[in-house]
Amino acid sequence: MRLDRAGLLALALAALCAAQGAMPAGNDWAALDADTRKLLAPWQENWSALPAAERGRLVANATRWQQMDAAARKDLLKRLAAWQALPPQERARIRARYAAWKALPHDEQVRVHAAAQQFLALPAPRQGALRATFATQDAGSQEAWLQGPADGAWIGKARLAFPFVPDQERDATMRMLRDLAPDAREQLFVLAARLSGDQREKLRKDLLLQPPRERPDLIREKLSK
Amino acid sequence: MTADRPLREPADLGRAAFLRGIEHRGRVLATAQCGDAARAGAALAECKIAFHELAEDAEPDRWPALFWQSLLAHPALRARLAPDARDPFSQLEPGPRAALLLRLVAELDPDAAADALGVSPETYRHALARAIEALRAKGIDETVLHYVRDSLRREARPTHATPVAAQEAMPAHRLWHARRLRPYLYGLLAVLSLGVLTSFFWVPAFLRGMATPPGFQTLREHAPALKLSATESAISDGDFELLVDPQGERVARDLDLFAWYAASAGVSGAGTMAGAPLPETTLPESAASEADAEDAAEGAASGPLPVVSGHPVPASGKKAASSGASDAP
Repeated sequence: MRLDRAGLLALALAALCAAQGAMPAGNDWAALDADTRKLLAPWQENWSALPAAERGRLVANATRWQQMDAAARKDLLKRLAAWQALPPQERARIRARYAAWKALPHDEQVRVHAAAQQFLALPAPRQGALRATFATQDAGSQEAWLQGPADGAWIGKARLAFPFVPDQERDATMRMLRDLAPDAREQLFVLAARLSGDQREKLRKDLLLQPPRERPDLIREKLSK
Repeated sequence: MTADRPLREPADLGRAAFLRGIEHRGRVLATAQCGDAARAGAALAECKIAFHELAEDAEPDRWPALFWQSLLAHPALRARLAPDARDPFSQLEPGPRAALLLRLVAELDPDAAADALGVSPETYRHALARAIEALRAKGIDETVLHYVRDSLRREARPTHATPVAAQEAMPAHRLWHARRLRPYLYGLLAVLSLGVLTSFFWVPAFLRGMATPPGFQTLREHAPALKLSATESAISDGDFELLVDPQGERVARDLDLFAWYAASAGVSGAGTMAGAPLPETTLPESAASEADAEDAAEGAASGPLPVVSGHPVPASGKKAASSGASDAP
């Protein structure tokens, strides 16, 4: 057993060393191919002084550029010009939304993409009507949908039910709410609406202390009182 | 007691007097909390009715807490504000914002403010600390906060307060100094004006032929660190990943709308191709906000159910749900 552990440890160390050795070599100026070096020529002088992550990003972007055909490159330059013409606040807004989109689980991305396809195929007046309906929600509820279709429906309500969650308990509370079955979660929001601020906080803390399996029973029990 | 009954009883009159004393401060807090004077006025009106009912059986020393409780329980004061760089409070969540305003505008001590919010003093202190941290993270330091506090408190002062005298009598010695100095100041101004005029025609010898200071030369000689071509700019752009993913960017721009649509229209995504191209949008984004309410009602009736606060509601119940009915406790 001890030998097995030692063997595993040695293997892990070897893999780590190989990875460490490979990373700098991959981004080393001398190791880059001629086309990539030509694209990245302006950075050659300070290449070794650049942070490893920045070098990796530049190499990845240059590689991606080389894989694009002429039309795609032209299209990208056009998009870049349009992007740079946007006001900084708008760029920051889209950047944050793109990060939220990339952070969604794959199945949620597929679902939202399919919804976008259906939505954009609708006639213009229908799209406008749906946008207007969406805008009737308050700003917080609208923003909650950035968490995806599965979580967006309840996060806005959770914010109203538990508005004073301390930072250090926020992740645990979100996990607890996410793990609840949808009907138990709805019951919890109904229950929270009947309680004072102090009682709501106590309920939240009690739920966090309960094992996940017993939380729905606690909610039902308190709701029936 | 109901709102219809005229205020006759001594206790009624006492509560009315209390409200007259506090309502201006309440209006200032409500305006800062919900970001809109009209909504704040409506919330205050409803708060006053609720206060009369709540305070009927309460001792007068509980009235301030009941007043602030009634005001802050109004749905308009629990909504999140669109971030606005000119309004520091818009950067905060509703809870911490209320915690901060109770301190700045209502000038309640932590125990009274916690009572008004219906939370424990510890939770209140935490919310207050969170509000100040959040503002600091947005670059709003204590100096700005002091300025905002002072202006809010000035605004929250009772309107019937004795106005400050328009012109304060100036001390006699200051008047004497100003009078004595005036001729000298006019003389100085004339000399300086003449000097500026002369400099257009004549430069003193000690200034002629002076070399450019070394710092300026250095700046002039150094070219920009990197001159990049369009290709190199694109490759080094921090948003390259976003720019090479136009489909993802298009979805991300309206991520909240599409996620809502997926949930309310029951789009599962099963059987759809993950990278399938999106159709060209047929509605310019700017036109979205111009779609009128009638279109909204007609269009929504034939498609997926409208959603308010995350709940799909039937067409018949839509009006009630969208008219401000909230699931807030």
